[in-house]
Amino acid sequence: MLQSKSFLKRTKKGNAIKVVQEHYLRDDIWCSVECCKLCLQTGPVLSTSAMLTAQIPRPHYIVPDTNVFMNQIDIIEHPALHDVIIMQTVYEEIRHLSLPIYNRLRALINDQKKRFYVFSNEHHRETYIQRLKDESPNDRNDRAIRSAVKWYSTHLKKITNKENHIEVVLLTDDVGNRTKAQEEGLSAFSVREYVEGMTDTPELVDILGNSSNVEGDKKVPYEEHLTTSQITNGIKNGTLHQGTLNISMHNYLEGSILSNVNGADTQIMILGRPCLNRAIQGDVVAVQLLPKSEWLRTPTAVVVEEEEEANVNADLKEDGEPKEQNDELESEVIESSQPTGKIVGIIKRNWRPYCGFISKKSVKSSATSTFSENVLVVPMDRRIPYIYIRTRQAQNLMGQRILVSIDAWPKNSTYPQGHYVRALGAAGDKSTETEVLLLEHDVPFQEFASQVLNGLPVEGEAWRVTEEHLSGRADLRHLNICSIDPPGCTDIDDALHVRPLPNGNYEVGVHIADVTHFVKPFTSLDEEAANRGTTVYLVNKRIDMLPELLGSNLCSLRCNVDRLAFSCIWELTSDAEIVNVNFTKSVISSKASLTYEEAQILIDDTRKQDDLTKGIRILNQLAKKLHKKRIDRGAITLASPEVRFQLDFDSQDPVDVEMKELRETNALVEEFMLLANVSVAEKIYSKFPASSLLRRHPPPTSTKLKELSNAIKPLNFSIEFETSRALAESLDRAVLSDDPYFNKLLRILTTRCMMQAVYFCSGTLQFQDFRHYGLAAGIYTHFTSPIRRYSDVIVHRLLDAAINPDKNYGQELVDINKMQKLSDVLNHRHRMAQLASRSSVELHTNIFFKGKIEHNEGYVTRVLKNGFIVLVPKYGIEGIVYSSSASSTTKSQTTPLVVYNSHNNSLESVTPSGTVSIKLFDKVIVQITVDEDLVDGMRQKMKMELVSPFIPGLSVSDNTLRKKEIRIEDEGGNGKRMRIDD
Amino acid sequence: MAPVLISALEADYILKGIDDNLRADGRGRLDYREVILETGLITQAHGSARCRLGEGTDVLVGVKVDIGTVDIDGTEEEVATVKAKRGRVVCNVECSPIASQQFAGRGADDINNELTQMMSRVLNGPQGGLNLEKLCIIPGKACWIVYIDALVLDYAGNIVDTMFMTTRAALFNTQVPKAIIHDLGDGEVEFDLSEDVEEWERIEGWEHVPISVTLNKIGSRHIVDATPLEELTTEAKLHVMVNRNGKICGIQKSGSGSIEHSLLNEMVQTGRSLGQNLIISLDKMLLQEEYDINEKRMRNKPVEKLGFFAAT
Repeated sequence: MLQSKSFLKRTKKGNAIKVVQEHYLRDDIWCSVECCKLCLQTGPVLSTSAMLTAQIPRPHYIVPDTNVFMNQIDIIEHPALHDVIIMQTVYEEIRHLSLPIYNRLRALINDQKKRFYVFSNEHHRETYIQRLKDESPNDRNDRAIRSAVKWYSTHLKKITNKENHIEVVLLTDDVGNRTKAQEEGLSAFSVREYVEGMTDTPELVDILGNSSNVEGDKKVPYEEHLTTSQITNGIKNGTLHQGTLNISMHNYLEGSILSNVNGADTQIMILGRPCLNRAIQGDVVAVQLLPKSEWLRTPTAVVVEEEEEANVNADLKEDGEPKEQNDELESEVIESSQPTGKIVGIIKRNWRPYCGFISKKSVKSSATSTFSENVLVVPMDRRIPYIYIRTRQAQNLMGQRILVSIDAWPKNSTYPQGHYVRALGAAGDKSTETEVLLLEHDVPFQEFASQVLNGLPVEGEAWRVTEEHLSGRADLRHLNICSIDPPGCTDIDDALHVRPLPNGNYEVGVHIADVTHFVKPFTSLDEEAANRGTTVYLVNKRIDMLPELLGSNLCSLRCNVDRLAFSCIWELTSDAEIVNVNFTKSVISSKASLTYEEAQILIDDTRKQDDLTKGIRILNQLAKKLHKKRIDRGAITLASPEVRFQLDFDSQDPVDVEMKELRETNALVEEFMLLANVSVAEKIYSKFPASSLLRRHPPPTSTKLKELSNAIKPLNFSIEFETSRALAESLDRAVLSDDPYFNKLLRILTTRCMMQAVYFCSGTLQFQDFRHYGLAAGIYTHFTSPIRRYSDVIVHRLLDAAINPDKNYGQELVDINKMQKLSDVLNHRHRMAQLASRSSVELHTNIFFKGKIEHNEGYVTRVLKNGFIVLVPKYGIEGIVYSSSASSTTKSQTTPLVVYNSHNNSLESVTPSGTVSIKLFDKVIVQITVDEDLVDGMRQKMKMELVSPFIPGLSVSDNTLRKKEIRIEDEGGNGKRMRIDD
Repeated sequence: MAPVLISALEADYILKGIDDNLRADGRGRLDYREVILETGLITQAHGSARCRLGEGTDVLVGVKVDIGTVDIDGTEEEVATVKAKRGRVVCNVECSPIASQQFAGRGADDINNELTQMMSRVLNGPQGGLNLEKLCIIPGKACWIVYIDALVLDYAGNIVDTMFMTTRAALFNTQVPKAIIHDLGDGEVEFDLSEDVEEWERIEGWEHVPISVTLNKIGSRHIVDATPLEELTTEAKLHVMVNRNGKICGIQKSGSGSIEHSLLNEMVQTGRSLGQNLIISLDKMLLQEEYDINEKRMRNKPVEKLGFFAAT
């Protein structure tokens, strides 16, 4: 039977087009119930052992309405719910309303254990209904759902007898729909009613979305957001600015967006809760600039405003809000007036589930209470505001990390409203905290799905290189190839070889694991790897991009087995000049898997004279020459205060911290990898000028470096930053003979002024913007680590297509848009992976310092108005030392202990023994502890307090340390003696 | 149009019959043939109707509305006060070559132009009945343009009357999408269309759209709804456009013969009363048809259309 469906569409020109689609109704759509004899289905989905609850003790199938999926998807995902019929009407509505929820629903439908069945009621002859005159589409859809429920209910009566009768239950939070259904004799419940009837799983009630149950305090009313068309128009005619909101790490009431104002990229500050207007970190917002007279608000004004707010929220603060704002720092003084704006609308929400913990003070119930109450959840991410949730397990959840989702942020509520999703485990527990940091950094860390694992070679570990593989590959198994990696490395991406040529030149080969042989485009394995983007290294864990079989075995270039590789072979002169370069897929057999240390020993041990060792020595010589050339071109040697933990074998708790050691051999491998990356970048760019995946590093912005340069002026140094070469040279000059760490410190700080290197698609930028500033390379890409980076996988495919003129390659390699989108994803993943590993280090540092009190030497890396930041080289950690005690920030101080001197950017304090000043690069001694009491002991934080120089009232005066002399190891050798007084 | 010959005997027979108020098919002088009219058979159009008159004349009208800019031709004053605030109606009539031998090749060009112009003149003025102001979305900028396309599928005399009747029905059937106007502030307005096709408005003023009654002067008498043979005998034709209130909305004469003053008066009066009655019964039918369709939908019964198979 033919029906027609039509809708209106507007073309780009603005014309209105009526599109008519034919819609066929069928009589062969089956009910998919296990015991049905009437329907001719194969493989029914719905089981006869359907849902049973205390409230509805008869077996029944659930038919949820669209609003249930939209607001309560977390409930639907709960394992306690199964045997659900999803009406096509609902399914399609969800697809239009929210893609993320639609995808979650799809995952549920695919999950065979959940037994979710999509019933095509819109195509079913008996359930299809036409829309009536004056009926809204919503009402029509509601009626369509009811009509299908009715069909099911009569159909089930036909196919089951009295004893094993199965019912259908409509779940909807729409009162109108529910009453109409009940009038029609169908059983219908609201989600709350239904879930409350599921007495076996009481936690479900908590998961219920929080839509309207919190009475907002009307004291902080937010301004109404503008309508979409007003925003679009405002952005079009330049009165509004669009950007992604970025909240300051130090102050969650200070945000900014980057937007184009009058043709120049400008940072627009957004200060205070009313101006932030319910936007959350990451939201795409529309901002209106405030009049210039309001621009001049210095950071002090922010704090003042907060005080006002503190008064406004006095009652809330007393029993609800942890007094955490005290922690917030005034950021540096902004010298020139900064454009300031307020958020008038939100273009795109970027909410995700947030990890957090329940604020103890907001829980009012007693330990035995099971009433549901509103509590505040403090998110782990400081940039996210607190979230109201309603729970009846507040007592149980205290002390645990929980995952919550934000549902809404009504304009009369100070904080957004959300709901509990699941508990992650006890706070402070290492595995819980690791999961938290993975979730917080959006790292996909689930086990690989069976679909993905099915893409692996069927032979599994028994997979071998066979004759077949040799076709189209160079057989390099006879070469003396070896790999050099950190100890314990199982995913060996790269291996090297060198051999002298008769003409006095050298043949040098870099062999990279041929991952693309196993990871073919458009397979689930490829999609999964593209989504993961990179392997994430945590202190105690590695989250692989590829399944272990590939990463640690089949692709890994282990010694003494044949492995497939992608080789890059140069002819180099003895001065390390490239004569020519050749790329080929190959089969290799590594002769040795060395660690950096072993390789170093081989180089140094003159007794060893075998070919392999000689080769490594030649490589070492060549690498040094390459390095020198690179430095001459202006490459910058950067530094990071990274440390390495020694973990206890059993508990995996850190027992010691050591600086990462760098050996000659590290540099050896690095030089050749850089060479390979540059050569490959040139090759793929020559073949794919528009769609190569490259990596660039933009030059740093001068303002930050200028600040740094000013700071070291008193030391008679300066930083030139016109070119990377000038910068490198000026860094080389800045050496203090009595403090070898100074140069490294300067490099660390310079590194922080640098932009992030990013992947990009070559078609989106001009050639001169391709430069990699830090490496001083005109063109660069990532080719050498395909096991742990997806970018390299793409580059392998590009290179393969570039060297084989007859090779058929997929369109995805030449699609500029797709390539740019991919590089955006990879940049995001890459950044998140870095942040996750940093958080992991921080977590382990905290575990390390638990219960310890240490005094250590550190350097001042930043002076703020009410404190300064200290870097402790020994542990590579950084912390804030507050110059005003916590209690005094909110109250006006009568006699400040320390005064900020903006003239020379230092903090000064007048003590009985003279003026003590603290400025950038000063050496200080700090006491490091882990503050466990902060915020109910749920957020551990490294605490640093000043020990020396001594400032009364500020420096710590711990009894145990009183009058105790502490010897400070000074690398300068003239061990100073310091006395701790009180 | 190529001259089609008719024998003198045939012409005489028709003339005599008319004198006796008995035409070849048994009708009196002022009788119409049976009308079959159905609306809404082109789903892709915003409105449509098809009308078949007797055994022959068959006209299909499709109405399509689209967004366009207001008409800005003319003096500044005229544009500012009238045209900027109005929508437009664009007509096109085409006689299909399959309808008649006369329409083959270039033969149809003249008649197509004549009919198109006639329809355009009647519908675009105030006499056309349609409320053109209501078709304006944003004054000075966007408006609805109503495209009326009439296709003559078959010919058995009296195209003009059939065409106007069908057009009226098609306009009644037309569903104009709802434009939602947003105020962006600063006097700027933008609009969106409601995606929902069921949210529509009828063209305001459709009920005032006139129909035509064509009177053919044969001998000293006049007849309505002439067959092709009668049209050949006609000395002069008078198309009288009448609306439901019996108001004359237009008169056009065609043919080479002359009409005396008294006869002209009589013909106009006849046309007026006939047209008014015709409109009344036509409207009754249209409303009934719509009501029936809604009834069927409400009971979830299939709505079947006569489609193109309708015939007497």
